Amino acid sequence: MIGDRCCMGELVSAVLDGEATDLERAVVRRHLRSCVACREFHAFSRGTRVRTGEGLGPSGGASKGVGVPSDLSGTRLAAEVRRGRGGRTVRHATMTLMAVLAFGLILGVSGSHVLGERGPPGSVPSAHDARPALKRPLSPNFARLFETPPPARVVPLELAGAAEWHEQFVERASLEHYRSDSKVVRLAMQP
Amino acid sequence: MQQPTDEGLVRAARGDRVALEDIVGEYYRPVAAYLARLIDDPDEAQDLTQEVFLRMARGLSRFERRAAFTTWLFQIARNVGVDALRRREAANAVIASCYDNRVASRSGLEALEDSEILWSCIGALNVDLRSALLLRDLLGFTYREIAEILDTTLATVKWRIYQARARVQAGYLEASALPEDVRGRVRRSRGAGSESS
Repeated sequence: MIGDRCCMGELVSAVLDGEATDLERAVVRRHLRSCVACREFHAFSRGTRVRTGEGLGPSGGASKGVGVPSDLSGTRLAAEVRRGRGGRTVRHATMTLMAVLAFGLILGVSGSHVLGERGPPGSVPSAHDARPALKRPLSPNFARLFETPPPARVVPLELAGAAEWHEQFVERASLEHYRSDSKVVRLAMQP
Repeated sequence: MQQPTDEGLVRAARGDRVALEDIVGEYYRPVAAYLARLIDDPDEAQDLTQEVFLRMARGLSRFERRAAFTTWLFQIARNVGVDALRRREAANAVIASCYDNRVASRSGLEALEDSEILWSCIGALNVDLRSALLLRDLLGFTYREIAEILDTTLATVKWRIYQARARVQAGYLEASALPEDVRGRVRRSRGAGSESS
């Protein structure tokens, strides 16, 4: 028992609704013989179910005097169906139009950037390149794609001052910059 | 619960008036009863039931039959009911928990009949528990269908129905503990009143 409820209560409820397996039903049947709380719960819930279900019967409280109102005529409902269909068509058309516009915009902008303003590196200038440059510059990330990476600096260790440089680097790194591998590499690249 | 025929649904989705009226005639009463008990206000439930069927008509062309028609219809009903409860809550009518409500309306329980006490206890449940219990006991949906309607898991439905029953039982027993002579007197006076009228 947990408080004044038995831990089998949930299973008892499921058995009552026919939502338990054969094994669970057998377990509950055996349990009900020994558990007063569950027996009471079972009896009460079964009675409640019947009385609640009567709510839809001919004399049921909830459905007493319930008839389909004249407001819900077939004509009105048919109008609502048309409205729903119309709304759907408009929504689809709007979404398709917006998708096409967005796609065109993306294509147009990226195409102008790639071909109109600079052209890919090494390409032969054409009449297309003679167009006036766009007012809007390339975004830094996009422009980096066409940049040639600078050659890596290699500092031979045997050079004079390498040991001092290394010491300085470690000191700086240990102070605040030694946070990630990328940071360290960036520092290492600095003269 | 019985499902409409495929042909009926197709005709209704095309806007056939007779098919739509058939659907409304078949399901108006269960939806109205469910909403009346869910929001605990039969008058408002009538308006909400109309709203449910208008929404159904508007959405019929989008109904893809992945779930049963009744499951879909009661999903709409549940959403409409919960919206109404939220509006009511916003208007400072607090949806009290079972225990709070019992304390608040304890004196009122004296005048209630047994079945009214029962409905009062069901009405005092929170909306999740009440909704699950009504779909099971009032309308006879299976746990799986209830899970679809309430958009939750089977285990949660099982737990909610158990919790609802346990709380209703506790509330009912507490209310029934009122002196029998008080309740009997009320019953007799009601009976005399109805006989004289």
